Amino acid sequence: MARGENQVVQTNIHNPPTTTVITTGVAHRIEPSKRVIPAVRTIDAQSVVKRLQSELMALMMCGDPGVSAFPEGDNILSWIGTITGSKDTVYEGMIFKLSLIFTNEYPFKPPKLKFLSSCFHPNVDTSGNICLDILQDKWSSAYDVRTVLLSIQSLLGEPNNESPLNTQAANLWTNQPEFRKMVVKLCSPPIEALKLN
Amino acid sequence: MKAVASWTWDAQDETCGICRMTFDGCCPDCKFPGDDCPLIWGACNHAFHLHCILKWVNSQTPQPHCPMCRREWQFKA
Amino acid sequence: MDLSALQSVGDDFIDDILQSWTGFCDCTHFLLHDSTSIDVNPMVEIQFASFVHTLCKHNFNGLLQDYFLQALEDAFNRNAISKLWRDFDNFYENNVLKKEKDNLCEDILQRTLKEISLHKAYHEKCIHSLVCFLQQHAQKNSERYIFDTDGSSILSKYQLMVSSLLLSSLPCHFPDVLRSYFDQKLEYLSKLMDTQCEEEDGGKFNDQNPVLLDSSDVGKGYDQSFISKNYNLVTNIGRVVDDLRNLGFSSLAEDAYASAIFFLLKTRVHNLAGDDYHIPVLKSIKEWIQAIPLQFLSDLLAYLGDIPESATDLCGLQSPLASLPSSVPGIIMSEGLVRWKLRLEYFAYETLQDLRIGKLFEIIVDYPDSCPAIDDLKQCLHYTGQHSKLVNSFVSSLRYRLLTACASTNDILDQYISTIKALRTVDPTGVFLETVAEPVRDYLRGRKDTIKCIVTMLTDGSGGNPSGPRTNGDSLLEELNRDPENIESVDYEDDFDISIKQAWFNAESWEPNHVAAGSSKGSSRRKFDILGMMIAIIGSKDQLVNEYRVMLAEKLLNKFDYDINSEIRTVELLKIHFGESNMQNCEIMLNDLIESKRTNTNIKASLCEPSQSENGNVSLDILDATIMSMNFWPPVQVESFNMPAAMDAVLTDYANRFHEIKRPRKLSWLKNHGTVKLELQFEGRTLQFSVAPIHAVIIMKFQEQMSWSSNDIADSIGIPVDILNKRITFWINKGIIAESHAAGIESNNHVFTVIERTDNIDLNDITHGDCEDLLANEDEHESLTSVEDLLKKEMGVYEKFITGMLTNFGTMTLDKIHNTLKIFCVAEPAYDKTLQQLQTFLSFLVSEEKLDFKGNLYLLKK
Repeated sequence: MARGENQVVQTNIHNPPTTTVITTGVAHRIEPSKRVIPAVRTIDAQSVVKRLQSELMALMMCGDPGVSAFPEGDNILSWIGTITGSKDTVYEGMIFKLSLIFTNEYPFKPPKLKFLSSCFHPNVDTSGNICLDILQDKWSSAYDVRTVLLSIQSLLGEPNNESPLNTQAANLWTNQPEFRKMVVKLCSPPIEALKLN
Repeated sequence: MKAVASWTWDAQDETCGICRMTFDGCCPDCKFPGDDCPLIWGACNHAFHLHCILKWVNSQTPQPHCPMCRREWQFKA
Repeated sequence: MDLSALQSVGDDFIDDILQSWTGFCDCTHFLLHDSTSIDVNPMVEIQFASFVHTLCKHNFNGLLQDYFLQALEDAFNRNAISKLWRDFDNFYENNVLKKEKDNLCEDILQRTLKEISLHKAYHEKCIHSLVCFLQQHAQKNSERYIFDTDGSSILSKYQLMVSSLLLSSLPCHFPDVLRSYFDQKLEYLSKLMDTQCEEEDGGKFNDQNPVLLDSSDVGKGYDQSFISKNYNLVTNIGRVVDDLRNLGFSSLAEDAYASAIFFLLKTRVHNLAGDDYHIPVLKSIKEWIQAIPLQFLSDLLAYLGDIPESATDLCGLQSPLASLPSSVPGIIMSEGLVRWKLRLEYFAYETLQDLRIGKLFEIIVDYPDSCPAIDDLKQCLHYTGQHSKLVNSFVSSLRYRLLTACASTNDILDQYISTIKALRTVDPTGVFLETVAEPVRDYLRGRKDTIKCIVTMLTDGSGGNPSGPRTNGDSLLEELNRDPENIESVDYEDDFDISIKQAWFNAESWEPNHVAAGSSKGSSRRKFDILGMMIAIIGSKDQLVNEYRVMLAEKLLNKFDYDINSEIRTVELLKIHFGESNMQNCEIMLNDLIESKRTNTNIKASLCEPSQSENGNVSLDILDATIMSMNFWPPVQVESFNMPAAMDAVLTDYANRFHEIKRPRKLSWLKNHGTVKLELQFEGRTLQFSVAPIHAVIIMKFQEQMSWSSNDIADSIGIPVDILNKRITFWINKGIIAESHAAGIESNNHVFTVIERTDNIDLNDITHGDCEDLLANEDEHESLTSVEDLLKKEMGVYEKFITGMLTNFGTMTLDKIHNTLKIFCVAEPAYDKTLQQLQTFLSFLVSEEKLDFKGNLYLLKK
């Protein structure tokens, strides 16, 4: 099996599926959703677990510096993600925590993502809900945790101001130095509750 | 003479973009690789485990796309 | 008292008193002078009476008693002791020491006792007379001086005196003589009983027909009335014991006959048990105890009058024999007898137990034929509770005899398995097994071939040891499946108490891999899972499964046909024990062979359509293929080399046909695997070989030319020279090719030539050689990643996981990291470290400045 695993890893390193996926970032107003942690059940769950396990392995092994995620507690369907703001954006050096909730239909249905850290961004509302097409109707089963987090990382630097969730942020976007100030002011360090021991 | 060989799918990628398992392995729902868990190509030349792409296609309404390139999904003749 | 008596006496009485005293003293000396006479001289007695009377009148009875006792002591010392013991010594030295001890002990003992008793009896008569006179006087004066009327005080003083004199002067070999006497008597008795028994039931010690005997009111296997017939014997002994008791030697006597009985019992146990472990002996021993020593004791105690008329009911006393007929008809069990019975049985248990423990190693070698001995041992230990004796002794014999360099791993494993089976009978709690198993396990872990042997043992009938005793063709695994272990485990569930249960759980809880037992926990927890014990040697189930997979791969790749029935059976059995998911890869490997067979047939079938089989004269018919799903097989070494064109063409043809049939699947050859059957034709002789492809390629080169230099042939085949040199030895060893050094230049360049004449080839060597070489060839493929590399790889993976979780969670405790790794680090290499190991690793990461450790929390170093 070791062979198989290694091949998965290598594929992800040399052939990231992101190359074929275009982030469009069409914004919608979405209902704030509560974090619901689904339980693993049924035979279908088996393939979800397998896929998430192989994703975790791949994610750990690739060691991408800007994004990271790890299952929370003992439930592989519920992950905590970490995104670092990219260089040369107003979010540079900032660290954001997210929650990722998977269903048994994953990867045929997208996971539910939400910012846990407060994030001042045109497409993120005050509760942390994210408006990103690939997490809704543009979802593809070829996406995975890593590519989704990378997409959100790039969304930070390239917001879709057409349909903002946070109009104040959308309006301020043109003034980058002021926006940076707001980001620094509002984006709190990781929420206390996340210090899981 | 008894010779030993190994088989592989004649595909460009090594892993299925949907289940992340190798093509030469099988999809999560199958026990045995090879004939039991065949590959299928789309018109866009992306290959998937037959079982995986069927699940994806069935979950996409009204019009399924290729998970890799978003082209409208059609099975390669 | 005496002084006050003197003071109150008037002068005129003093003469009277002095006269009487002198008379009394003379009489006393006269009386006691010759104590060999039987009766007291009546004349002297009358005089004596009057003196006593006079002295009593003057209240001198105390004084005269003291004097009399003193005189008795002197007399006894003088007459009895010094003379008798001297005689005894002389006799002993002259006769007993020389030999003939057995027959003469009785004589001397009886004679001595008789004489002493005579003396004593006479003395007692004298005392009796004295007491009579004293009493007469007391009655006459009816009062004033109160004398103990029966004279028991003076008598008991006398007896005390006698026994202390005897004891203090006892010759040192007296106890020996006494012992010999009892030994000899009891041996005689037991011999009588045995011969009688043999007569009764044709040499069989055990009674096979209890109904018949019960109906005739006879004890088990022995005619209990027989001892009664030998009443003389018992009387004889009884008299001796009685005499000894009278002399105050009760405990000496009891010690002597007790040790004689124990000695007899010990001899009996040794005779019965001996070195035969195939029959149970405990029952016979118990029956024997009942029939001989107990019957004897019963009779003896009855003779001595120790048994009360109506023996107490035994119900209150719990005999370990409760399951057996504890009240054998004819023996009335008094309390004393029950005590004897318990003592004897305990002694028997202990003796047998010691005997069996001393030979436990041999007994276990003999397992399962030695089951009766093990059952006996179990019962013994149940009563003695000396399990620790077993553990200590057995562990040291294991170390001394088994865990040595000269024992083969298979032998050690065989003995280990037998030990597990045997000890679970002896000790259902498993606590002692754990102690015994540990050194074996530790030792086996140090041997390189252990895993391989275990796997072979599990899967092959031969136990990996073709010359071994297990020749019935069943693998250990099948045997395990037949074992009704689950049922057994339920049986002894209730037998032991909580503390032992706890100990068992404790003992088990540190077994590696118990967490991985997962769902099957409930059922497999308690049972003595031999497989579990084997896994404990290896370390983890995964390692065992992995090793099996490697072996299976080797076997499958070396098959010339597609017959995998026995492998399928083994994998099915392993699935029962290890779970389906663990055996998934093996199943796929087997499925590959089934598929290969089908595909192979299909490809052959497509042959009837004309194809390009015209190159050369080689057709597809000669080729069968095993087609692997590489991902599911253990890593297979790939070496490539140039095939002869004809062979290459066939392979390509086959691959093309595969691609046609199985499109879009394609096939690539692993040229260094497989088997080639060759026929070499020499002048007037053909030889057949079954060889690895590389050997075939080499020998086929010699069809082109008779002689090759090593460099040339290596180039031509496309392999490095050193590999060629190694491979070609196969043919050199077979005597097909000869090696000679090329003239000078390179020492590495040899010349190989075919030997056409094969007259001097040992054909035996050839027929045997081939498969061994296939294995030798395979050995090189086994060079899997070394342990160190594996560890590095593992640690690298863990480090990434730890970094990953700390990135997302900030800080974590050791426990939390450990648990998270356990849950999510499940792919190869799955996380299987202990908390301590993890802690060490984390400390290492801290020292490398990758992590910080604050309070009890780990976090990433910024």
